[in-house]
Amino acid sequence: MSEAVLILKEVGKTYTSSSEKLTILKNISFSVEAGKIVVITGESGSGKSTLLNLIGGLDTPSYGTIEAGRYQVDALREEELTIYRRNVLGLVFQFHYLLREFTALENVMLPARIAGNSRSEAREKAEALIADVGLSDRREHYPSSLSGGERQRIAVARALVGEPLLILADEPTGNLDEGNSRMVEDLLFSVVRKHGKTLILVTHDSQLAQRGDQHYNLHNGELLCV
Amino acid sequence: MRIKVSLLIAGRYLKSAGAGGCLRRIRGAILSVALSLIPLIVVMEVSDGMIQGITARYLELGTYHLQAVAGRDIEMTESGFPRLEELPGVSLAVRERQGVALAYSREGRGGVTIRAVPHDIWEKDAGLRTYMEIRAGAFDLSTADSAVVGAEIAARLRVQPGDRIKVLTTRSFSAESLMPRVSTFIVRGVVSTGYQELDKLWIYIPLERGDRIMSRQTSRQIIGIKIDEPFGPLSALSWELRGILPQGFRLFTWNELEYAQYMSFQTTRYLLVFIMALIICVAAVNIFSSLVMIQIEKREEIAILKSLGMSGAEISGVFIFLGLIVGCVGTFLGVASGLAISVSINQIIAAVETCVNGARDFLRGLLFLPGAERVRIFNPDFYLEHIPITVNLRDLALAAGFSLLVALLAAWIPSRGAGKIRPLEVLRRH
Repeated sequence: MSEAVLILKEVGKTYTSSSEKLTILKNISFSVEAGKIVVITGESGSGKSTLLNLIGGLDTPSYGTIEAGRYQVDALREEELTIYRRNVLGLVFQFHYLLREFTALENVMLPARIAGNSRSEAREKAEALIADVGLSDRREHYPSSLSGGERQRIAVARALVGEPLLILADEPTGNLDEGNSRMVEDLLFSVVRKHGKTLILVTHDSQLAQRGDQHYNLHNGELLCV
Repeated sequence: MRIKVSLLIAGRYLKSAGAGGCLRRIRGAILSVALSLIPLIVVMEVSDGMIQGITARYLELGTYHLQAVAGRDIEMTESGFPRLEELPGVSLAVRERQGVALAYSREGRGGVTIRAVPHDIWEKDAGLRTYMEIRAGAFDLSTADSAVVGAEIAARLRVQPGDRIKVLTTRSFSAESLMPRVSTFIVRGVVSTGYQELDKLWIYIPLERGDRIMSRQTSRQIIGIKIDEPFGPLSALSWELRGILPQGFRLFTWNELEYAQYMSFQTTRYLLVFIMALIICVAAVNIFSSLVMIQIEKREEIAILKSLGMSGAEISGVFIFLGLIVGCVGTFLGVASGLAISVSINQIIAAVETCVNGARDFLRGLLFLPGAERVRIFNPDFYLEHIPITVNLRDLALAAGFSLLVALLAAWIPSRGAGKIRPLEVLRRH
């Protein structure tokens, strides 16, 4: 049995406003082994994205602990969270969020440059990943001249360039048509498997869930193993 | 902190044109810094030139660069006159006796200052020749009855070269008694210093005659000293001169003698520079608002960059670099333009005068109005006809440094704001 790269213990998230207390996540506990693909499904508003945000250090849990690699995420300060995101995570969002001032290649290079790779090193990695997502001929194009599917494929390459321990994908095909969705899904799974990465994918597409190594369903803030 | 990444992103923001691009805002901020710096540079350089020009005129015509003033009990003679000209750095040392008198002619009269100077001062004193304008006759003090009068006195007494004037001086033989003495002079020349207040006071006569008609009790005896570097440091030479001068002499530098006037000029200059510096502060508001707008427009990108692992300090660095680039480019353009205007200020003034007078003459011609005196931006009776401009690198460096500092301070607040953006808040909204 391989080592767990992510361990959540009794994690909960509650938002408190002046009038009410809203519980999003209740006592979530699970662990993910290195190289596995975990798919979390659930209805809209079930807390899937909140769970990913907690793992990604973009939000803090109300209680419980999250361990990713050698980091205890819930206890990290802002500067430490920056290092955690830089060294451990690769993020793919529902929207591609590519920087409009950078070419596809430069967008992919960016996390590697942020992580301190030299320009040539970052370029080499980015070119290989762009080749993996089948967009070598489009690498010098700006996001504005790429299709929706191409942008999302570039976003997948960008998530992998920093050689992260953990890739978090939040509805990565949510904005795409069916044809593009399938293509990006196939690509995401194949690239992640090729590079032996750990993926946590959040989706409301139960069909997609079948392709993962582990499948969880979030319902009423509780995580159920399917 | 990875400065290279911050620089890379700042560089891209600078290049991004079109809708949502930063270039337009950055260009506006650069332009505002450049435009705000121009008046400051022009004021600094031109006022410096004007002050130095006006001061130099005063020094060369009246104050000298240094003055050794004899005590009341000393009667200076030509033989007892110390040989100051032999000192290195001293270009001229002349004896002068000054006193007040009443000058009159058949046509008018007025209080004057008699300046009794060596008869060959015109030949010896290059500064005098440079700044003194001979309106009529010559600066001729070759005979004992010669006088050279200021243009305003000549106009008041209605005299011209060849006319006679009388001068009433007093001689004191004891503490209680004053003896009036009337002396007659022939006007050899009418001169102008460029300043009305001096032209209505000064009458030059030969030194030997001055010694006779003015006693030491009713006059002031000085040694006027001119040196090679009047605007350089004077203290070393002053000490040397003080060592040579006989007892009873007091030495004054030009900035001690003209302290009030010089300080008045300097205070006016400081005030102007202060006001102009405020304009740079206004430009800083422009930098601030431009960077705040960029920060708002790029919130989403900043959030993504932070989620990709960029730190708050690195994000702040992007905005600091933007501010620095705005400051550097704006300062360079502002200093270059300001300098170009400063060194051409005389030509610009002349061109403006030509345009104004041309337009006025044209309108007068159209309306069949009679001609009028030419419009002058600076009245030559009170100001310099030509403003001497010498580029002051220290002042330029100070202005550029101030502008850069202000640009950096203006970038500081938006940069901190950008560094504090929380990715989740932005991405959740999207």
